[in-house]
Amino acid sequence: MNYVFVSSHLFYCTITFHFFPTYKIVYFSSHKHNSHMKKDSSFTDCISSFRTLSLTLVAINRVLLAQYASFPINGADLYDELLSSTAILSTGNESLDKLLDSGLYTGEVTELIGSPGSGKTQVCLGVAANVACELKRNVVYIDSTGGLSASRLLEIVKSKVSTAEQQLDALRRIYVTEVFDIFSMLKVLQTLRTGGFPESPSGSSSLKAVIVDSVRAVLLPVIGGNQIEGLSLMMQLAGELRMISRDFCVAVLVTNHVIRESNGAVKPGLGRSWSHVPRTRILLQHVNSEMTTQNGLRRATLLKSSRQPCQISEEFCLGSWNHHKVVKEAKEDSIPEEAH
Amino acid sequence: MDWDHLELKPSVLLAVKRAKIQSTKEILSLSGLELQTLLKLSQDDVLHLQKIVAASIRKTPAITALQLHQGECPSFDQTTKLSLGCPILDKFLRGGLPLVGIAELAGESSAGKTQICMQLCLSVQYPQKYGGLGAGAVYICTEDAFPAKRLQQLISLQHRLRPEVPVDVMRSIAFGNNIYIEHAGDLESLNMCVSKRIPILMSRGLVRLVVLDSVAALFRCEFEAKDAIVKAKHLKTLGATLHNLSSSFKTPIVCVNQVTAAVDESRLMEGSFGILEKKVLPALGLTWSSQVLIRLMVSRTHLSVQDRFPQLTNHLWHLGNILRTMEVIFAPHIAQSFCFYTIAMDGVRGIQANNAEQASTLNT
Amino acid sequence: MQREVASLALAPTIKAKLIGAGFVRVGDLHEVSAAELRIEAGISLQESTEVLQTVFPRSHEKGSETRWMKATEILEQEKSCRSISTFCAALDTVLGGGIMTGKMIEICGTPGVGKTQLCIQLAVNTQIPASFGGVEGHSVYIDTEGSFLVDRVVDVAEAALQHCKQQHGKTGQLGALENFTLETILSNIFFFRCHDYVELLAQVHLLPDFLFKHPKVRFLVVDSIAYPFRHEFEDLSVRTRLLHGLAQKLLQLASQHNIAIVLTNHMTIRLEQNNSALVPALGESWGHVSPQRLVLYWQGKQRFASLTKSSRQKEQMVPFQITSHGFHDVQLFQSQVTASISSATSNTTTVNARKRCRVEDDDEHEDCL
Repeated sequence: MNYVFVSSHLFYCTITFHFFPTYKIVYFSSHKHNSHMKKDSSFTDCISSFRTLSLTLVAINRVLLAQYASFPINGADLYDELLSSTAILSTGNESLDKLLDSGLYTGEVTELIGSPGSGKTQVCLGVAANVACELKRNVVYIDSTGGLSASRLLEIVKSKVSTAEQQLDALRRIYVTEVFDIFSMLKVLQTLRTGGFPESPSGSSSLKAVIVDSVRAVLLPVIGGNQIEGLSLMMQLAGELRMISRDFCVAVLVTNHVIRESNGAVKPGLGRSWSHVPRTRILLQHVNSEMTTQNGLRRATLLKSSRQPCQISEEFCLGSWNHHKVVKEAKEDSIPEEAH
Repeated sequence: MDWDHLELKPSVLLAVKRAKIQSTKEILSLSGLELQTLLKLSQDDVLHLQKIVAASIRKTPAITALQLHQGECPSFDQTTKLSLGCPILDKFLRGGLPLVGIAELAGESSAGKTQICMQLCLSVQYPQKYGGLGAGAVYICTEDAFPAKRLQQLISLQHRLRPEVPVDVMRSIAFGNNIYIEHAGDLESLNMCVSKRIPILMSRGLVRLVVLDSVAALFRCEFEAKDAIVKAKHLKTLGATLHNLSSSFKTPIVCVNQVTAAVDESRLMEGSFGILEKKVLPALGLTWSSQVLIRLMVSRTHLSVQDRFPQLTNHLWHLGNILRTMEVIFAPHIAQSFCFYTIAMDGVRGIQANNAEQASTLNT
Repeated sequence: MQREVASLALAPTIKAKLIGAGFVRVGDLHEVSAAELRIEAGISLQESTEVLQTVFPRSHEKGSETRWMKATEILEQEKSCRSISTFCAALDTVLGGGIMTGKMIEICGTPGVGKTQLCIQLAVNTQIPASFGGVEGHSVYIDTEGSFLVDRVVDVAEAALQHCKQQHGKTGQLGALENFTLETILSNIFFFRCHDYVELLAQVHLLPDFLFKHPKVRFLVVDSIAYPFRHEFEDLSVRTRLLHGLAQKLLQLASQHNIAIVLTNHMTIRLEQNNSALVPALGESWGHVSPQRLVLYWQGKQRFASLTKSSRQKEQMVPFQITSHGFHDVQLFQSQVTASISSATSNTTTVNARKRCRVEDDDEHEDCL
């Protein structure tokens, strides 16, 4: 059985290319024709000349179609192409990898949602560290919440490689920028897309993951109320994220908040139009919702996926990205003297 | 709103007028993006507008804590306090009640809440030299009728309670005429009183103290458990109104509150204030607690003064017989502590006790 | 050049006109003069000049280029950052050395549990001289509740001075305390009183200029963020929008000026199906705003601080106490605590609490292995 996939993006391009030139051709040729037409030319002359014109148009149309229209690709070819271009980036966490069908897929937007303190930023840091350290690829980390902690990144990296040189190498692959409003966020993404990424020894093609923590922080101040533009900015952001993921073959990981409904159930924030943006969505929750239980245990549930059955969940420990021994030493170093 | 006096760029000024924006509040409540849409201005112009408007609202420059400490800024006078009319209690409260903020007096019935409030109403009328504020008081009754007879008695015995005040100063104050009594049977009339009548009295400088006796009565009878959200909303609004009164007229607000038995689990969790052994908690829950600056709890003990302080026997003529405690549950400037007091014919008096005595009483 | 005009920070009407005139991408505006743009897009000359300035900012203007930093550079920054001690060593440990400058932290708690006390303590401790391991900066205190009483600041400042003098005696640092007196401590705390949310919003608009003039400010507190936003709002979506806008501005200030920002928040009761829980106020979406969250609460007669959210530290809880001198560890006064527990009439809850605490410590210990 053959499946026909039509990429909506490609289709859109074709239509614009198809219509505009034709329109122009019609316009110009008819214009030209009129000027050449004499006053005494008969009606049939006109008709025939228009007919030739319309025949020419059809011909042009065909050429254009052949040049620009998308044509059906069979699934096998698509699969081959996918295999050659898609990479799966392990998150470094077994449970998450299991949920994500072995990791983050390049060319896709993955979303992490959860209530405050559910570990979204921790997962982001973990993914960044793993991609930089294990896969030796560059990571772009766009921080809009001020939640990035390089010392925590170092802790995670320390648990993976032992030598200081390797650790620093890994950290050097993580490029961080702070943004505080939607316009600077869009600007960063657009510079990224148009090759404004800072030069790195192995070239920008080694960029494999873009992490945005979080989209909520920049979007919430501009949506709601009577701000018509907020929604369009949100969709622009969505478009940029999708385009970056596809054009550069990188995995995009974003975080978002949850809205608690009156019955205690949670749903992803930012409303319906955003909910279509990510391909895969994972919900993070405290295993025990009591404030006092502080064991670092979290449950991740798959809410949306095109590869795995939804609603499967896995439990994992937030601290599992690192050894606790390291944490303790680091803490003792950092206590100021006068506190004793 | 007159926009012309703001130093705005002409183009921005024109845009603001064209958009028919009424108030500075409106501008600050809109996000930059909304303002851009509304005013058809660029981001830089909107930033300029926001900054100018913000500066017009916040005229006072930063005050340093040193200026506050030395009492250099009259708008934030933290050095003046309202005396309770007893040096021992004043010392316990580090000088008395601060001028700005809501002080709450919680306690079981007959613990002496109303007595303390009445004494405050008299004390506020003394000149500043004697711990007062030189103005009258408003006393809002919501439960019982105002105990006018007891007030007369207190007035007639003021010279016994405050021997340090010269007789001519005391004679010059017409204590009875400066206490404005309001009765508020329901929430509506209370709101009316707090938002309309009291501001008028205050703006004339007649009043520098508001006593609300009690805030709990209204809310406890008008709302049932299921109306918790509406109740919380009303409490917040009342709290905000009182706060505004207090800070714009530098007037202490004293609210009397009832107590509830601390039995069910949720109430303990609500914030027990570290006073578990009390078995009672101030009423009205967490919402009201957030409005209160200083929370005092009064209660009567089963002890008599002679039992506890035999050395004070020769002073008994001016001490009441039942020993009571006043406890600071929270206050920004006082640690959790307590003080003994009694109620005598002429008023409320604290009892100086050393720490050992206090500790031993706690254990009994 | 590929940047879409729609994503620029221009007035929406102008954007619509530009796009209508065919200027879809920034590249389309390249080498177009203001006069040409005026005619093409049908906007005024002033508007077209502004458009071109926004699109092609002169290179020397700040913020024109995206700043990329490697994680190693951020690590260096974090290492060079000093933390503000709370004077409670256990709490400092939980926070990773104290309150970090350049970051934001939210402190939640029921009334009277010590939020304001902690803020005052931090406002004073910010000024501890560098030779004592302090930050040696100034403090900004934005008070929305009227709970900033200078009497208390004097208490805390005197205790901090005393503490440093003792250290001075031990380590013999000469002259380090000359500029560290009660007067200087008090004069380096800048106090703002905001009565409602409009004043608070206005104040935050003015903060960038203030911080520019006072570059030594290292600590800023809004005590409390909740109070002005918990009434007056019929439409909660407006509140959410204002609060989040405010928070983003503060986050930016924290990062730009290397300031520790503390926001205090109330607690409220959330009713769930069968039980109610004590949760921070202002709704759940507010919880995402601050990267760190510390909850203060009572358990029996003991105050506890619990770090419930942090990107670099483990979630932990520690007891603390507030004395007349300010914040302190409980261990130092262990004898007093045990005495008070034995003397308390209904000490069952307290003892349970302590037991529970110990059990959780054990749990964490197991994690370590």
